[in-house]
Amino acid sequence: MAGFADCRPDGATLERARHGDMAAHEALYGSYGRPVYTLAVRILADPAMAEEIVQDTCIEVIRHIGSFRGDAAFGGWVKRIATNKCLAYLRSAWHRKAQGFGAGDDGDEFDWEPVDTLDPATTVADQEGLARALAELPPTARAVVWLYDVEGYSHHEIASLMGKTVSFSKSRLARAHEQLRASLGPDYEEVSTCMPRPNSC
Amino acid sequence: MHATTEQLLSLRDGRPVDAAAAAHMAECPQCRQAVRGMMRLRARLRELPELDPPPDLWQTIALQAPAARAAPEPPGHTPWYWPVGVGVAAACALTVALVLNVGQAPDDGPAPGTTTDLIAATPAPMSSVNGVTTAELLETSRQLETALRVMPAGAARSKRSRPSGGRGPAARGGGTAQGGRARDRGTEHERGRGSRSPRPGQI
Repeated sequence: MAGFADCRPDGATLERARHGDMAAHEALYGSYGRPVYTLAVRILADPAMAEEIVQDTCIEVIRHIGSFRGDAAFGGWVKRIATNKCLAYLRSAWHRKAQGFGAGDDGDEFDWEPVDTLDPATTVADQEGLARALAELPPTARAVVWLYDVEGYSHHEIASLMGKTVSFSKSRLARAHEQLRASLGPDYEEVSTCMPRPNSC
Repeated sequence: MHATTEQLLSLRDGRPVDAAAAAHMAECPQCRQAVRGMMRLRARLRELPELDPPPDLWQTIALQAPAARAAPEPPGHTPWYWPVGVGVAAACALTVALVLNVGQAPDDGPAPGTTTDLIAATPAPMSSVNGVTTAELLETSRQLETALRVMPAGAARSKRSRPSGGRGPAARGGGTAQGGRARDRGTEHERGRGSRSPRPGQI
């Protein structure tokens, strides 16, 4: 997956975009539209909401392209905007209400099933299965695992973006891995031999 | 005891773990396997394909773009506006304080029986008016009134208007013909009232 790393427009396009050239903005969108949409779908697990995140991110880029410093990575700048919008949505009261006030995100104990008892029909080895398992994570754990393992944010950065502590980010990442291991089952065979439950094998 | 998931993730990412956990993981094949599984999962997550947004999404965005560029910033995104808000609040507070103070002027006087009260109640001695007595001032005033009645009306008007005319816009070269006509039409009474009235914008 190329993602934001390949989002490197040339200086001339950026300059034209700064002057309000919509053709230049369309060219920029061509480079960052897919990564932003992918990020939003993976974090929110909601394609309709992801479309709104893409729109909001584009509007933000169009509005603030003049303040973007050329010496920074354009892809990183756009990624930051999109990430903030996704996390703002996860924090929103509307989303929390729809999710039953963040069910699965706030409990201290993660009660995951041992791998041995999983139905083989639900375990998949392909990418669709992994994407589905990711989508089934609690929203915060899903956001942390995507931002940390895929987008390359550090725990400090995630904590800062979420307004939480570094420990919070670490614990949510661990929880996400435990649940993914439980969901993927035999596909995660190497781990299952060691840790059907933390500290108990 | 095996390492926790957090410790295994720390090992995977090359972050430091406590000595006991590190020693355990060095000798435990299961924990090492677990770390390898976590690395594999991360690689698989990164290999998930990118997703295409709806093809007509850019058209929707392009329609919103002009309005977005013209729209003012949300208040939360413009921290440089806060000094203006503080200034307005301070001005409002000052205005309220002044309005409330107007009706309470008598309370601002010196307390009865104090030294300040005694000084304020004592009339100023005549000697404080540069040695001129009341009788002398009245006499001078009468002489001036008599002189004014004797003088022709036009001469009196030009003499009295000279000082103000020297400071006026026409004297500075900034007056307009219309302004000059307006001054000529004005009576002495109007000028006098005008000099006491505040100009627009002075309030």
